[in-house]
Amino acid sequence: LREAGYVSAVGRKGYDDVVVVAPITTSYVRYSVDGAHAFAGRTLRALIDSAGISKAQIDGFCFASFTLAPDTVAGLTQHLGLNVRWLDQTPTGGASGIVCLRRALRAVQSGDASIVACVAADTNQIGGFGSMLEHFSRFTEDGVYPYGAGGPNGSFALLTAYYMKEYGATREDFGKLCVAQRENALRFPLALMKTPLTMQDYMNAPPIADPLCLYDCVMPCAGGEAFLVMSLERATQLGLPYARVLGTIERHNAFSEDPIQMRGGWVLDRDELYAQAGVTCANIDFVQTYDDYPVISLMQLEDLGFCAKGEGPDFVRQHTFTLDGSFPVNTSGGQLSVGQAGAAGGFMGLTEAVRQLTDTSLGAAVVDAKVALVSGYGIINYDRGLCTGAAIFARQGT
Amino acid sequence: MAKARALAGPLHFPDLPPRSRSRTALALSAAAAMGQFELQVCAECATTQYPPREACWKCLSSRLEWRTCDGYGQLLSSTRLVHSHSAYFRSRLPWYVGLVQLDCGPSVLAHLSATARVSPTRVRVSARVDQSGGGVLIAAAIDEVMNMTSDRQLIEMTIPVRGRSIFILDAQSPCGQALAREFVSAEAGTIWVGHAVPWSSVAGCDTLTALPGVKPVPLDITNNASVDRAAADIGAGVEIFVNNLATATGAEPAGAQSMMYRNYFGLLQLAQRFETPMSNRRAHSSAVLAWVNVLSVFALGNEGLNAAFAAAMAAARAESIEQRKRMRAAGIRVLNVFPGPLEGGQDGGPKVSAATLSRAVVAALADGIEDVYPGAFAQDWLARWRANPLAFEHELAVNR
Repeated sequence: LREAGYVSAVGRKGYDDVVVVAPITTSYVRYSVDGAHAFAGRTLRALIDSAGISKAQIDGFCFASFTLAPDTVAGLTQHLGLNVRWLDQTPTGGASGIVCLRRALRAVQSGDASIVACVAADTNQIGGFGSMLEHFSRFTEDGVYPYGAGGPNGSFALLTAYYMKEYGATREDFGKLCVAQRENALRFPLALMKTPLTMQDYMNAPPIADPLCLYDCVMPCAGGEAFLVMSLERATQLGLPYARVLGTIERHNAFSEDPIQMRGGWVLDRDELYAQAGVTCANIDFVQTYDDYPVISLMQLEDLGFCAKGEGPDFVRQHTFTLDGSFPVNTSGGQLSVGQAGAAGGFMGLTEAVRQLTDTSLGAAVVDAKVALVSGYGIINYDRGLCTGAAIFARQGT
Repeated sequence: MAKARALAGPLHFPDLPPRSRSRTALALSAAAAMGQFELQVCAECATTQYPPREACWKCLSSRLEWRTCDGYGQLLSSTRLVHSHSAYFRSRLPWYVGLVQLDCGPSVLAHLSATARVSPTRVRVSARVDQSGGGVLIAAAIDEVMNMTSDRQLIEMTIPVRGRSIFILDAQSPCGQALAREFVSAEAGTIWVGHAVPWSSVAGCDTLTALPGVKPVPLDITNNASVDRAAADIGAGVEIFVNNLATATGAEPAGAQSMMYRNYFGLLQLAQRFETPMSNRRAHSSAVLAWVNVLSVFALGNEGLNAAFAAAMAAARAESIEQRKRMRAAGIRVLNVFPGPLEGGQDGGPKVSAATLSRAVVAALADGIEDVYPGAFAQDWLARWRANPLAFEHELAVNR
């Protein structure tokens, strides 16, 4: 791995002196009458309890949510009694975990904050998801919702249909990923999906938006995710197990002139990611993709260089994706089997990766895992996801 | 008690498609209401924009101009939705939508006609307003002659005429009678035709009554009791209401007061009596209803002989906008037809015949077009008025 003080070709400093600790996944339920504030509170409490610090020690706060309106993170400080000197809110949906992480790492490195709590929390009230969708964005309101109001299912159906035609993917390819993730989820106590899923179940599921059927579609739920970013020195003092951050990237609205999204911003930044991290795809022991729909997982595997564009289907056929598979993916079951708690879905892969690398898994472990890649993808503003990001983490001492 | 409840409006509102649009996107809706497909084009770099924007995504110019788009493009991907978050679509599933890459640049999401469901295929995109009045895009195969009323999805943007009950307010004028004949040709069901004088004294009454479905209804718009009676008799059955009072009065020289009384107060009166029974009918049916106001392009200003008529038309047009606001919520579409001078009138310029006007009205219903400007005169006025309403006003104020 890289020596300390490494600066990448584009002049970015590394993250040698900052670490991620106290990964939290909590309070997952299908529906709740509570507001996002309640989930933020529960998640923050679990976070400080887990780290053994007091709320007053948190001096930086970075938050992500879709259901906090009319409040913003500023109002949330008063709601939760936080007194911080650094504050941020990431409106990047499924890329929020990576984006929060990047903000927090630099805040700590620069000294603007010493302990940053990164929290994502969302509620899911009955009927709430539909009304959120109608006003999700201006382009959605004008150009998407009036067309059948299919929500993300409709948008991803169009991408999936195109991908299948263009690259020869079959439903079984997507199904293989979904079935493997369910197997992972059965060993993860917080997963909302608790029954096994067979390929036959997957294939026979009721259609939602062709070619998507029930098990291709993420299930909205409520819940919270969080982690702390602090200096390596502080983590050591507090005796907290930590994961190192080797490299990170983010990109927004890449390839905007592609008529339909078959690639994301990762393509532009992956060389920088691996260069900063000092590793290659071959060094990655497991991957957490952003998996609201399986087609997006395949796109990430291609765009992050695990296979070439269009070779996703072959890659799926050649590998197994369970915890003990040849290429473990979404080791807690991912959003497809745990549930998608709004913006917390964008944190899920990150917290799970840090648990795996700090031997604090809530379920089963990926044996001998040393290096993990976590990817984020978010904000279907109109016809495609705008925000992409990725981070590579390593076990303490590697 | 029963009356109080009726006046309070329907107890149920029909499910309608999502109506929320940004203010910028309303320009697309406005063009769509005339059956035109317009997109923003940057005046500086010529980049076509979609969805509607307030800054050019390429050069950041704020000079985005709405221009007609020919709609040709490639259907990239399509899906059959069998789940929807909207009650309106839920009761109409499955619903087909697709992503079309327009030849002029952007990719647009569109409702798909039955002829354009398999990608990739060449399609043509057009624009209409849906039952909420919001502009929507429709993609059809390029060789398709769009017959919207025979398509399971596209029919939702139209007002089907076949088998429906029509009420034409005034059947004494040549225009009212031509309308009745046109609705008969379009295979409407019952066609009630209003008459203020005894039916037997109306010229052409025999030929009209002989047509299938045509039934005379006594109605004197200047007499409250008469309007009440007509509303009580047929109000609950009317599916397409045609207010054609203006086509009768336009030709007659008359005082400002009587012009205003018939065309403006008359419309208020009719709206008060007929909107509630129509709303109640709509609340219990998924079939869309319509209210057609046949007005005059002189609603935009006056250049001819009859300033009082123009003023009455302007007033009626203002009320029609209020009516749209009320009736859209009830799921009733309001169509406004603005012809130029009618044949037989004293105004100059190219005339619109009663038959042409009637065909335009029935075609607009079948095609789902809400704002209709039939004939060369009306089109000329519309173009000048759209280009610059204030300059047009100055043009009209010049004494020639």
